[in-house]
Amino acid sequence: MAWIDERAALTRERRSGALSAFHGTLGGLKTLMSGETRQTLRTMTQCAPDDIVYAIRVLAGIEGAAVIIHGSAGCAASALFAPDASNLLYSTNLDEKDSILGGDEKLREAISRAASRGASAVFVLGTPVTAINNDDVNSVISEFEDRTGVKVTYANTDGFKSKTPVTGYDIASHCLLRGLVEHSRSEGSQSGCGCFINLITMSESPSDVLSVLGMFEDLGISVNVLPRYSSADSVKRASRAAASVALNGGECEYLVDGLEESFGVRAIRTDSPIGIEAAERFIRAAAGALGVEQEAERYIAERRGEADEAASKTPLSGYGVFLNMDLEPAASFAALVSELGGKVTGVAVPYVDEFNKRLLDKFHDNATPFIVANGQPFEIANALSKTKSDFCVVPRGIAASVLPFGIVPIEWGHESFFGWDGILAFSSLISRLKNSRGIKPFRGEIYKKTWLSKSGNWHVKTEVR
Amino acid sequence: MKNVIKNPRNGCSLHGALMTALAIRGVTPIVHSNSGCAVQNYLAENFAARLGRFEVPGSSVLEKQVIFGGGSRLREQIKNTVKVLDGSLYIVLNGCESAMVGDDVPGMAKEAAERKEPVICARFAGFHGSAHHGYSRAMWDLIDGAASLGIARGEESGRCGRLVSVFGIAPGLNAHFRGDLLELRRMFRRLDAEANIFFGPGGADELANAPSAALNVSFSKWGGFVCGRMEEKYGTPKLEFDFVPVGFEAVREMVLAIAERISPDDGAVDDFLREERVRFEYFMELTDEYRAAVIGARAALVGTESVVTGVGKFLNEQLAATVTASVITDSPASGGSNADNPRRSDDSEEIEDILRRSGADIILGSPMEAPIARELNVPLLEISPPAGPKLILGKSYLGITGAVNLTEDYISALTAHKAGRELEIALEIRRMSQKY
Repeated sequence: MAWIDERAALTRERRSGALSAFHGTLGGLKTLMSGETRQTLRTMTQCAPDDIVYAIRVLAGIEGAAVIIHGSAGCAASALFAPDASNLLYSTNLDEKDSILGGDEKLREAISRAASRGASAVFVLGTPVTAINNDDVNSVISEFEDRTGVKVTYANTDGFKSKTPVTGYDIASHCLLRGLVEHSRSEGSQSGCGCFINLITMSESPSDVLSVLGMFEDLGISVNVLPRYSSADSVKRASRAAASVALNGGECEYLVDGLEESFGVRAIRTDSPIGIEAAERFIRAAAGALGVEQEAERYIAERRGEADEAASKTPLSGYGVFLNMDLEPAASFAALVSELGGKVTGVAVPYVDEFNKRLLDKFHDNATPFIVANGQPFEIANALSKTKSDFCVVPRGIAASVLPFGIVPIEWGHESFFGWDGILAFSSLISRLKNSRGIKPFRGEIYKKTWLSKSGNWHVKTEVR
Repeated sequence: MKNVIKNPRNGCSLHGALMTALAIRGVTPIVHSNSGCAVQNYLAENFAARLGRFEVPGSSVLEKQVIFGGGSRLREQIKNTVKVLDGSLYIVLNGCESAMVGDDVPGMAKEAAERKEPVICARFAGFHGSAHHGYSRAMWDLIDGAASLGIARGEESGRCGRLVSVFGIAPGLNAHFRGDLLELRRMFRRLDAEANIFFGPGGADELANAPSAALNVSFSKWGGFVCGRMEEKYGTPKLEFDFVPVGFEAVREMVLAIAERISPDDGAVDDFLREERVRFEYFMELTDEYRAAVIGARAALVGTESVVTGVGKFLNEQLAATVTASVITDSPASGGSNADNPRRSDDSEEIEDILRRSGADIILGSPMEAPIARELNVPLLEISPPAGPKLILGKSYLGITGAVNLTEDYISALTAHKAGRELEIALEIRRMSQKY
């Protein structure tokens, strides 16, 4: 796997032609993605996560790992209250003078300090200041490693090279594959290789991960969770697993493929376990890798009854649901909506690329409004204003954008919708939320009417090379 | 500037400016930086604002703008933001890149203003300091910028003898800024004065009124910067307090100092102080039984200088607490010995060391002190930023209302902790006795 030997992961735009803007229908997007995609730009944007935010999220999720943000103090803010954030977060606190003279001294101090606190791994993340200033981070790291023997890994984030923040997950994965995962699989084989599975998670909430762990526990499958909610040891032993399965294949593709290609850990490519069919496919795929197919069938038969009963009540019959989430879970969620008798009235995803475009075929109605919004609430508001939806499943933080249209927002992540328990939880939530339809916002409309009446791609243009 | 910081709580100037702009109704910020800069702040400081955390317009600069300059990208962003998002005043806030690349941000804002769009810009970038610096600088840029657009009403209407502008209680940097400012407005009205608090229902209109204020009052050194600039440019007299007033004595001190400057009607001050005293005493006399249970409790305080000073004084003088450690987080200075009290630090490792040595029975700090409070098995009362995921709307720890709230929360935290501890001990006794 040649790209593992590179200094940094390529951006998603370069590696997989990630498309981050599109407004139209599912059919139109399928047609567009069947050819060579041309990069687009927005002439109006709202602030959204970048690769730094996503890379911090992953690396700070490793217990005991020190994460050094080499930049101004504000660049480290996002990990302060993450539920699984490491307590060893350092900022080199660069100021204007450092932006001119360089921040090497502060970086040396930060690495020494982090390493002296017994960190299980030390990561340095780049920021716009260090990228523009061209700080020679690798020299500082090499010098420290030569002097102390402590391994330090550089995540070459910069905040501006990629429009697709999922690049941050790739950069973090690259760091882990190069710097932390045990490279000697044969040593591992002598100590019980192959008796557990890697569960790869990047963005899922604790409740989502816990619900999937519960399913594996019921099946007697041992699981190694990484990179979020993990420890340095969990990451190290990932190369000894029998297989890796991701909760969101698109986000975790770099790590799952890297483990397979560099360490021979079989990649299980399956759907996010949301909805009856997808949960079954997920469990069958994982069980197949560990040779426990019969147990899996027994388990599925046992769990299916409750979910079938919930679905038979068709709680979504006559209701429209707009899905605003990553393409991987959206494909499974669309099936769940249909299993519960509802209709998908529109889909907004952050990006589509070569790796996940196959999932577009999982949606059946080519006339469904489909937008690639890259976390732009004003475009999503525009789309919502033109659809007749009753519910909108949204990530945390943008529910207020949904309310002006009389749509009930369902924030994802508080309660897990994964697995059979997730089906029951979602059905139950829908029954409770039906009374909230037509809910009015307290705040006035923030978007001008002239914008909502325009086409959603008004501010999207094709990039000129 | 201090070197490396563990778990930096003060963000950068952009973050302070962003919270300041978002907290003023009618003001819409336009962030000129890479897309994640504003999001970083929201993930740390999830404070309630009209624009949600991912709704803030920003130029999301890309590599080509870093190489060739981001001026034209900012131009189109401004032009389109005013067409898409509501606002009576737009302010461009800069990240580090635009300063390093040398984008002509004032030029772009001026171009927009020439098109009669109400756009101004902040004249600083993220790495110029902490969020507190960002508040000071943005506040000044907003007032001065509004004046430059001709929005300010000061010069036409002359100075308004009963208008007082309040500075130094900053959005997101004072955990209870809205409640504190509304409490100040209530008090000022009783003194026949109208308070310009900026972060209340009045919103951007109050920016327009600011140059005509008769007096600027500051409750921290961060407000002092704005008052100084206002005095230089508009000749507005200033009055500076280095504490947030909590309890009757502090309110009295503040009211008398302000009354001296704005000369309220005869009897207004005495009437007001009499009523406030009665209100304060009414509530406090109900607490004697509860206070007895917490007399002499050792308290450690972590927060901004003005809050730590004001709250510490009240705890010590009214609730008979012993303040064993005070850590000031908004103006960390290098040097200072371990024996210094208050200590100045924004580094969580240093702060935790100070708290470990303090022998405190209770910590009054931010949610960032939760791990050390757990480690020391003491209660944590959250009085400081960053507020984390907690929703804070109108609660105040200022004035008489604030003193009552603080007394409730402080005593309840200690007594609830004691009750929990007693329950643990009772269970332990039962467990031990069952061994035999």
